[in-house]
Amino acid sequence: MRSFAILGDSTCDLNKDLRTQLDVDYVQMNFVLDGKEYPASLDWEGMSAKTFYDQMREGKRITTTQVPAETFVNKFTEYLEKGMDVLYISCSSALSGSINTAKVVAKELQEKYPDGKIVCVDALNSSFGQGIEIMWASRMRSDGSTIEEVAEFLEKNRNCVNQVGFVEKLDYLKRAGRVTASSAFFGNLIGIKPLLISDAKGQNFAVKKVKGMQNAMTEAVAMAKERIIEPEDQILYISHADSKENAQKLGEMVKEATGCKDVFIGSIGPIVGASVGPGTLILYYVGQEETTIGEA
Amino acid sequence: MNNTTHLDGEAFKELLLGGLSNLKIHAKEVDELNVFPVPDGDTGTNMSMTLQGGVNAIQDSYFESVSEFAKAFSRGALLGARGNSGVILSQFIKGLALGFDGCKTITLLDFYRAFREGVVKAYDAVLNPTEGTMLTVMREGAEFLEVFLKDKPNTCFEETLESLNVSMQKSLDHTPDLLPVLKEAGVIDSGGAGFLYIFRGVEMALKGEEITADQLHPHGHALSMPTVDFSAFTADSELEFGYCTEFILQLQKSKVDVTSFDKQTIVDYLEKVGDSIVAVQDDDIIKIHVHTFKPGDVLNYCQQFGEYITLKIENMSVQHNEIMLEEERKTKNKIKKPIAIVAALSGDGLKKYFQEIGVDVIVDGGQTDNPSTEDFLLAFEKIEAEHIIVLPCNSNIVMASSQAAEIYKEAKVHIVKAKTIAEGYAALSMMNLSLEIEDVIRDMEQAISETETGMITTSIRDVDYENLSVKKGQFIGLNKDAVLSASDNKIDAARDLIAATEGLEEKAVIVAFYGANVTADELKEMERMLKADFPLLEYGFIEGGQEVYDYIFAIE
Repeated sequence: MRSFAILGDSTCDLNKDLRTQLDVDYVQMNFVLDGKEYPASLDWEGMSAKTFYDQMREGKRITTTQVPAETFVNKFTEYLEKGMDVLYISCSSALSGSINTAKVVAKELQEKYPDGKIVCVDALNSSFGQGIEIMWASRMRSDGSTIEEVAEFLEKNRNCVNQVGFVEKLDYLKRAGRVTASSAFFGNLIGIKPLLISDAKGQNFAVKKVKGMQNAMTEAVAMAKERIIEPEDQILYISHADSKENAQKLGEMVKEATGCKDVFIGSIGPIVGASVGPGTLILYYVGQEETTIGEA
Repeated sequence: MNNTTHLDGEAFKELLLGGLSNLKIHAKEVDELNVFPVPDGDTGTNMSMTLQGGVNAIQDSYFESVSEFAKAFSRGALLGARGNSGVILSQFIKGLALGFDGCKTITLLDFYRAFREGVVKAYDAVLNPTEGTMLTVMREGAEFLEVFLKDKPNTCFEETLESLNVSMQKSLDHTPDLLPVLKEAGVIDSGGAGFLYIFRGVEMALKGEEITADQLHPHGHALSMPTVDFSAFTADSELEFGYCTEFILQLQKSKVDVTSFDKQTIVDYLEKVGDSIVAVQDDDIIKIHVHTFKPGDVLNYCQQFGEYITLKIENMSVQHNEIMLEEERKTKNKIKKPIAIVAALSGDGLKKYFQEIGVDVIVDGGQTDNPSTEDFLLAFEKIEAEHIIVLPCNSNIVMASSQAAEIYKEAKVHIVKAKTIAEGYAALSMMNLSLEIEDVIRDMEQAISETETGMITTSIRDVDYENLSVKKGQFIGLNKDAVLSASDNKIDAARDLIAATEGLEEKAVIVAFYGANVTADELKEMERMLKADFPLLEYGFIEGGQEVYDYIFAIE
């Protein structure tokens, strides 16, 4: 059996340590600041998280681009040349078109590498939600599962990765447009933290409005407590955009409320970060299958 | 116009370069149209980058064969592809290349086949093809080509491209009918627009026209301005009003005695075949305006005296129907939604802001000029909704609005008793219209109950309260009717007011609507105070522009 590589992309928020541990790789998107394009490194090579988020705080607009076709060609080829297959677990297709490009490139490469396999799975999640799926894939691969078995498992269980997050300021989210809600819902409101889930289609959907950071944390924990499954066996993941203190506070709260095994806290990378803005906290856990489909 | 029927590799290359140039000129404009699937405003840029990728791959090479050129170009475009629109475009180009496979030169039939192949590839590239996008524009383009080439087997590239672009423009104009998100945003599809700009560029390159921003202007406008509404006159329509026909006729010596010819000859004829006649003669030039069902007859008749300098013929049924459609649109302009919001407010800043956060109709009025019951009824009539929620935003307005609610029968009217601007804001900020009406109202009332209103104004006289004595001209802090603070310094008055707010330890947010007389420096000072003295509260400022109260605080 051919071995296979597991790839995420710049939205999966797995840092170098985790990627080494899991033996996974990722393809890079890019972000654009002041007309200059930077590769979106999950290890903040080239620009520190602090600098990045401070630029946003100062009102600089940062835009993002999906994974360029050429990046896919290079990365896929790298593994195909080694005689490996490739499993690409992409950012939710509701947030990025990268998986479309990946599939087109995969078809192209099929001619040149008829024996190689490239399987693309839509995570329907981003940040650590996508990250959790990549962890699953890595574990299954170690346990001897085939690439098809892993892909099938992910497609069946991806909606069980639950997200609840909230942003400090609505402006970034509104500008990036990567959220499902009416414009009035997101008017220029102060102190309002809509709780954002990743719905069944992988869209960020605002399910509820909460006033103030403290209340938002309390509500998010309450939601997780209600939906979580087998917390005692789970490590929960919190990603934050330059807001470590609040992330730790949320971590303690959710640990106490759910009795989960542990909480891992990490940084939101530049791509998700550009859409949600500094101060954002997102909690991920495995829970009831998400069936909600948000409509604006 | 040339009559190109065959193209070789180099010629085809020139055309695509024209397409790219034109797209680049309009990239920003296309970016701004971008609302689907993600409104990130990059479609034009992405499509340009994609084509640029193709151009980079072929730039320094010479191509005799279209097939060879298209292959190289398509490979480059794929590598350069960015964004959904770019990927779709690159696949369209890939389809073209497949269609041209083996062709050294191409005919229109080859072009059609390749175009069709491009459409197939483009649809394949997308997981869930959505109509009302670039895909629709290209598909309908292919369908048009099929019919057009069947009708005109001996046509040339110039004529074909010109007609194709007219057809794709129509298709593009209809994209909002297929994709609600476009209609809502009032735009056409950005990818489709980009695609059309490319083909417009191809057309111009073909005709040897120079591609510059200036020359393109009319074209550019055509996209953003409504062109003729083709639905106004269809296969089933009857010609009710004839054609508005206008022309300037140059009398010709070869046809008539120019010096003695009188326009009356023409007018006598026109009276038999039309009406609304206007005729002006200036020596050997005659200008005519007439409404007729048979413009052809008129033109044939008049041509026996001269030749036309200008001509304009318009179907008046279309104009008429356009007016009718406009009327229809107006009645449709009623705000239609399950739950609509009405609020009573004065001051431009506040009005604008409250509309932004969800108020559909504003009744003019406030502290000093309370609106009447009738004002509310007029507001309700602008709405077609099952439920109307009214936020009076002033305790003096609750009565009038309640009365209007009782009288009005076209919708269920609910008064949510926000008695201050701050309470109105609080209710709107927590409003979630995707819920059932009872829950919407409950959330709003809950928000109001959790909100304290603080206001800063200037005292107009000396007053002594139990614990507070106020001098005329001092700044005072009010909570409802109670004076909670007084100071010569506005910032101090605000601080003391907030500190004296009931249940402050439970509050999370302070929103400050600042009035017309507040300066930027003072705002900074106020912000410093809030930050330093109330570090646990999130705060924000909104330009209310109101008179009387320098600040209205919503303390939530």
